[in-house]
Amino acid sequence: MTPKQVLDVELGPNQSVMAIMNETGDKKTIYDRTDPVQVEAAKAEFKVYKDKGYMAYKMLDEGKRGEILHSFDPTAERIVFSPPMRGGYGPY
Amino acid sequence: MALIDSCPGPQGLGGLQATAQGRSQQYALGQIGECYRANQQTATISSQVVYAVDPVVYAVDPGYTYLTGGPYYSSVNFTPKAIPDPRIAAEERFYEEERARQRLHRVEVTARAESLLLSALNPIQAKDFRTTREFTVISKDGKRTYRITYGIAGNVILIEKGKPVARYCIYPIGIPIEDVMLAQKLMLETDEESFIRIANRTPIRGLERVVLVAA
Repeated sequence: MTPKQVLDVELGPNQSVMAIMNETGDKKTIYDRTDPVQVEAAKAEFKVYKDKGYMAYKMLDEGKRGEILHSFDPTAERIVFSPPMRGGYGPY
Repeated sequence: MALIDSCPGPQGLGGLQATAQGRSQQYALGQIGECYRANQQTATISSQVVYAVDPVVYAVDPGYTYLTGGPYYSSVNFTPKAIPDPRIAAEERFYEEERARQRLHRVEVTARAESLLLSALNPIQAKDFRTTREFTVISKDGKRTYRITYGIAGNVILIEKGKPVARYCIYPIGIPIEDVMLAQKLMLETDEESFIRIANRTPIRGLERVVLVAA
């Protein structure tokens, strides 16, 4: 099976990626969904960011809207984290 | 080569101790006809004379002929040319390199964030973003349309019946603009209630509405 482009990185057949938005754009963690050790590490990282108030989204195929993740989904192929949202200026 | 010294001439000007043709001479800094010496004779500077009037460093090139001799100090008929102080030059070089590094960093960051955003947009949104730097998002229940414009604050516009009616200000801190737009899109598509609850809402009226509709 050829690698496929997911979240602007090429993934192997059993690989998943977590993209965590940060000041450099994002930090990507790639892990093998079939490797329990890697999945556990990804789960731990997921928890770290959730505890910081980040919002996690499970991304679906191109064009389909994502889903909010409240807990780690080991089947998710791509997860995007965004820092906590806050209300900005206004009313203007 | 050169030492800063005070000129004991009649004008009491600041001077420079320098060596020309093996002789130690003293003359005023950049002052013409202010410092005198009797029994004038000519001398030629044999090597470049460098002196500083903080923070500028000046140089007199070799081969310059000037008057000298006697108990008084000669006039120094040269126009000093500024040469960069090596310390200042090194500092400027450092800051220039730092600015170049930051420019490159910004380009890389923007490219990475844009790539992530485009990977999460559908083809229509992606085409729209590439053309206008904006894209349209439909709420989860499909009832409302938002236009996410390029920006961070107040850049989400609620569209009703084709017209902009309100502007929402909501964003995460410390990430590039493209990432902010993606975070806004993801939240609108999945948790619109929280989006509306957190965001500051400003109704769009009057001239701004006219301008936005025209755009």
